[in-house]
Amino acid sequence: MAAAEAYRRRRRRRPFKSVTLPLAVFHFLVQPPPDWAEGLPLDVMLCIFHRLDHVQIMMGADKVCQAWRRAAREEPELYRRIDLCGHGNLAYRGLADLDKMAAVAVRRSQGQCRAFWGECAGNKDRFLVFLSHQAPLLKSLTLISCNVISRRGFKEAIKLLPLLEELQISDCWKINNNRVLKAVAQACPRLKHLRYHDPYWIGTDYEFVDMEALEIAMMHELRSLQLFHNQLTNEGLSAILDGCPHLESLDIRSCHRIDLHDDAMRAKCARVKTKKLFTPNPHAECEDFEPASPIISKWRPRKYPKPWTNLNLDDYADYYDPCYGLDSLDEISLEVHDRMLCKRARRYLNMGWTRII
Amino acid sequence: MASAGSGDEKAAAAAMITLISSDNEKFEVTEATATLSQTIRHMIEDGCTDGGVPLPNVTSKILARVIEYCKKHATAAAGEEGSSSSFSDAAFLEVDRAFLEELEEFDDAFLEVDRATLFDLILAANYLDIKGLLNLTCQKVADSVKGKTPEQIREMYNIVNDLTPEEEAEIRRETQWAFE
Repeated sequence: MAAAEAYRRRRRRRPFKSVTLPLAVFHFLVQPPPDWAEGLPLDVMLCIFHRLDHVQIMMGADKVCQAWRRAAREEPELYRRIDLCGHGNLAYRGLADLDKMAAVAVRRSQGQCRAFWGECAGNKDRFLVFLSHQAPLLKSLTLISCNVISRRGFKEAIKLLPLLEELQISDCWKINNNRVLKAVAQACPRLKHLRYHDPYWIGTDYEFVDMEALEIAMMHELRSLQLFHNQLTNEGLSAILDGCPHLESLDIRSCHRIDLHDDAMRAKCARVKTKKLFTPNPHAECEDFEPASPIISKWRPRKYPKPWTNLNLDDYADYYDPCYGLDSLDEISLEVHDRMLCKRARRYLNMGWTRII
Repeated sequence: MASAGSGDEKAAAAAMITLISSDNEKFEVTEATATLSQTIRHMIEDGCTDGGVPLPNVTSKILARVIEYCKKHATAAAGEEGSSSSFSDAAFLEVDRAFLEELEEFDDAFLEVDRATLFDLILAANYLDIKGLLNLTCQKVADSVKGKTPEQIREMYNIVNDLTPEEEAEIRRETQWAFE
């Protein structure tokens, strides 16, 4: 019936001049535009979101439409590693509440969170305790410029994180003393990577310069250590080297009290695979101390560099890069020096030996 | 002699796979190229590729591009295997670096497509389970979204804002600074 009808219609139209077009043209005209909201499977949405950090997700993708929001909030997998670094300026300028975002992200992880990296985020004792209750599996914790967290809050939280393997404390001036490190050494027997950075240290009392180093020496499982701008002396360093027999990587830039002319010290350091040390003293050339270090430092310009007086900015960027050393949870078991390669080199390695990594 | 020749031919023919797009266009590819797709690899393992592999979700236009990608990356993988068998470290790295740079350039050029094609490529990569291509295309979308406001993202991808006022309020509560 329908065919006959169509035929009749075509016959009737014959007198008009007809143009024959290939079917593909109609196909093109009829084809609906892609539906970026509902058209993408959840796996693909997550694949995209995994390539954003959590501030980018919560400030952008999360608010686009219902489908995107569903993908962003209902998938704990996305919050296994919570990364809120590099957005301190949002907090400084009052554009977003990173503390709230940190709490929301931790809640969304539904107990699956393995790593929390915050810069000016989660900046309260209450949050840190909340994190330690909500994320019992936490392996990696980074706190940068969290100036409100107190020593007491930190100690209370750290007790509940026995699985911690990576810890970075930078520019947190309330939790920057040896007692905090002591609590860490007692609570986290698995700690393998420590980065401890305290630019505010202004003490001149020679008696206390090695107190932090002596606490670090109690962290016997340590594989890599980065002490930036610390006051430790040869004595402290020697205690660390004795106390941490597995140490493979040592970065003690801007630790000016270290004396490299000490042969015994050099002999002791020879065991450590990768070393990094720069001192302002031209006689203390680091060549002997740093044989073929595979660490490649790379200057990454930051959008809002904080006022920095007594540090070389180049070193600072290297230290500050949250991806340096702590790249992804899956890589926690990787060799330390592999993890410390610069990003470009990492990408290259990843491509070349995908099976290994 | 003749039988040996035909045997070789048979082997060569067996290594070729026919892919059939949704609009019935046929593409002949080598097995090495096709197995970059996990979906097709499983089909080959199960021995159900005789008479071609129908791909009802992929148009010929997209399939042609996907095959272009797979061909390039299959050669890359083959080259890598060849060089890794007899590598001295430095030489291997040097060769590899040039190779990877070329591959990177290819990928960049490959991604110079409009949004509709990108969308189809993502869906095809997901359906065919080609990890490299999926990562590449998703990275492109992620890069385009980075640092954009929700409005800008909606505009870019033609998405209609279907959030209810309650949800909007909830979002504000979650991220915005509250002056307590």
